[in-house]
Amino acid sequence: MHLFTIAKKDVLLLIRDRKALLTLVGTPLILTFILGMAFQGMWSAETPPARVLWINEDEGEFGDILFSDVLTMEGVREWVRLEQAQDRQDAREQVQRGRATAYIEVPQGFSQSVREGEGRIIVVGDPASSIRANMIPRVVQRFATELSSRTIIYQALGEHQVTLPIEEIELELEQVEISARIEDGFDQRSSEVPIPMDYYAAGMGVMYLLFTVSHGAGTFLREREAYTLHRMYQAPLLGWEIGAGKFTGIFLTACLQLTAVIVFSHLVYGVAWGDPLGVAALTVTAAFGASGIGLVIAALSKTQSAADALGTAVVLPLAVLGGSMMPLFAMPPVMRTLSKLTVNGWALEGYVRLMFEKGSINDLLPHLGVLVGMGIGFVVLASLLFSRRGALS
Amino acid sequence: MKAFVEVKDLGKAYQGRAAVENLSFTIPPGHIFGLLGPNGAGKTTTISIISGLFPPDKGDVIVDGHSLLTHPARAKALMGVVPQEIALYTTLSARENLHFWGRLYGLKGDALKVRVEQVLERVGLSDRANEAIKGYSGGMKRRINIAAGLLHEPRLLLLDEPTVGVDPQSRRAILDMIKDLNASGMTVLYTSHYMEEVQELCSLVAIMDQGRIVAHGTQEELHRVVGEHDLVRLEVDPPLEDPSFLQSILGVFAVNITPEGVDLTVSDGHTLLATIIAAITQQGAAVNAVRIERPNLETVFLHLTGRMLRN
Ligand SMILES: Nc1ncnc2c1ncn2[C@@H]1O[C@H](COP(=O)(O)OP(=O)(O)OP(=O)(O)O)[C@@H](O)[C@H]1O
Ligand SMILES: [Mg+2]
Repeated sequence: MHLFTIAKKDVLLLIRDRKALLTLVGTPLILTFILGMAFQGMWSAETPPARVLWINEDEGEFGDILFSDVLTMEGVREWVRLEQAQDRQDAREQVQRGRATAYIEVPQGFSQSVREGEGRIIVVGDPASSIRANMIPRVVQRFATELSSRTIIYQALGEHQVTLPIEEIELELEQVEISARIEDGFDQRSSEVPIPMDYYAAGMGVMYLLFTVSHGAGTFLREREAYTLHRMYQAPLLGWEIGAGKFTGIFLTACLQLTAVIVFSHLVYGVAWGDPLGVAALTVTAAFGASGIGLVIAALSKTQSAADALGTAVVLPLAVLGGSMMPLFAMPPVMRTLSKLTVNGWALEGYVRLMFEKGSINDLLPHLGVLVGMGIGFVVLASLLFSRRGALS
Repeated sequence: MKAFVEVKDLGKAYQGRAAVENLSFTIPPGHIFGLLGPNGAGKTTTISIISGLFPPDKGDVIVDGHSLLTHPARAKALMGVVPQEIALYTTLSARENLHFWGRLYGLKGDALKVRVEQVLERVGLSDRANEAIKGYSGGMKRRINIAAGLLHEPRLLLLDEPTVGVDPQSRRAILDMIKDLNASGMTVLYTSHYMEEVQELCSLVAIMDQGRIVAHGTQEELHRVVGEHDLVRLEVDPPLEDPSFLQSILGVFAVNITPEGVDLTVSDGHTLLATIIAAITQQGAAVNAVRIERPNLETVFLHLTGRMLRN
């Protein structure tokens, strides 16, 4: 297949280009180290505590325990700023708009229901700011579990006196339904405080993925300037094979670059990228989406230097928007929404899920879908641009 | 003889300006066909169309019965192309380049390996084939540029000014190689603006100027266009401002100012020389050197266009 002959040659060309290789793989690793060191320990200390709104309509003691004892415990206190909400609807809206990180509601009769063997706590979280917000459901969850097991013990003690064998207590545990009801994008995955080194390994890797595809666009135009593209058109292949070959070349070099950053950052800095299957799927789809951007840059440029200039002009804003510079979770909600328009934003968000939320490939299905979709969209756009202008002029 | 290549009424314009117009010629199998013309004559445009790089605005090319317009892949598979520019990956080695181009022409496996070594041998670069192209001399680059067009043993070889910028030794080697390839049965289309090269190589010649063929045929046929005319080349000091007075001398057909002096196409150089020198001296200029040339492609071109091939 001529397509792979062309793509393989492009990979070979990149491997021979020591300078480009160093820039595209070496620089993100160096920047990861610098940014990772600079922000080490600062994110947890300097991030302002999450604003958490609450309403307690419980007449009994359990609601009180949650807000005055549990959420003010050492280790939680530093992270949350509790604020009593006036209005349920307003509190939910604040969370939706990103003004508050979470909203906790303990409904009327909660303590009573717990005694009767069931209970409900509502937690509403901002789906976009998953990292810090995940603390809240985790704490509430713990509280609920704790509460339920204690209730069982009390019940068991009350009903069967002290002589009950342990096994039976454990059996009954499952029958009691006390749980925090979690809404809006909170799955019960555990969350961890993000590690700057890990975050920036993904952030820089993705940013330099964009530089890689922009470099790929440059090689497309380089072929035109060196007349090797003409020579390809004089060979007995079909026109689409050449375009598809160049795209595959950009895609393969993009995969290679991102994989190199992942492997080296893991080996050298010990970055934990998370579920290998998820990482692999995300890497391939991110490279695909980004390659689409590369092809559009090539279609819009007349010369290699024009492509390099356009590439830089496109990559830097995209990198900022997609969270490579300033972390996604520290961005205002508007910016977080805008980041959803970028290939790298989706890719980075995906890596963050895998790294800090212990996500698996199943949690990434939207990301994978969007990245592939964006890639296809860009390829179609580039094809239209090329067919209007002609690949040789 | 049945034509191997048939170029039919080609036309191509860039931004409304014609680069080639009403271009028709045929190449019988086994010939070296020369396309001779000055810069901008339309040689590269013609070869580009024949090689299928872009379609003509008008006309068609038939190679061994395959129309370029309707069966481009079949026609292209018969051709080897050596472009005017060095179209190679300069950071890859010669061997890597040849492997890549060979694959695009459908070679693979052992057959590819064997052919790469054969053409490297042919262009005399086997021993340096693992070096990156960028470290090569101009002549070496040219030779690999040609080698890339020979890999699939094409029946038709298109060469666009393959000797530009090479030293005399490489040039000699290239010309001899083309003769060799032709002797083994390859049909060749060769473009150049060096009259000497076309004169040496080509059994058939088309002279191009400003997008048109102004004459074509065998070299003898072309010489007859000029008749029994000589080219008289004079070095004149100071340069003549208005040479029109020379035109009035009986037997002078064309007058052309050159950087050194003046060129004249005349019926018989030896008898007219005294009259011409006298006329120039009368204008107050001195004739420093005189050369009389028998008819050649240069004089044909001069005769037909009133200009020199190289200016
Ligand atoms: N891509 C292009 N865009 C616009 N005009 C062009 C283009 N290519 C060629 N031309 C014009 O077409 C005419 C023929 O050019 P062409 O390159 O075919 O000449 P040539 O005989 O190969 O000249 P040379 O000996 O300099 O290589 C010239 O007037 C040239 O300016
Ligand atoms: Mg040319």
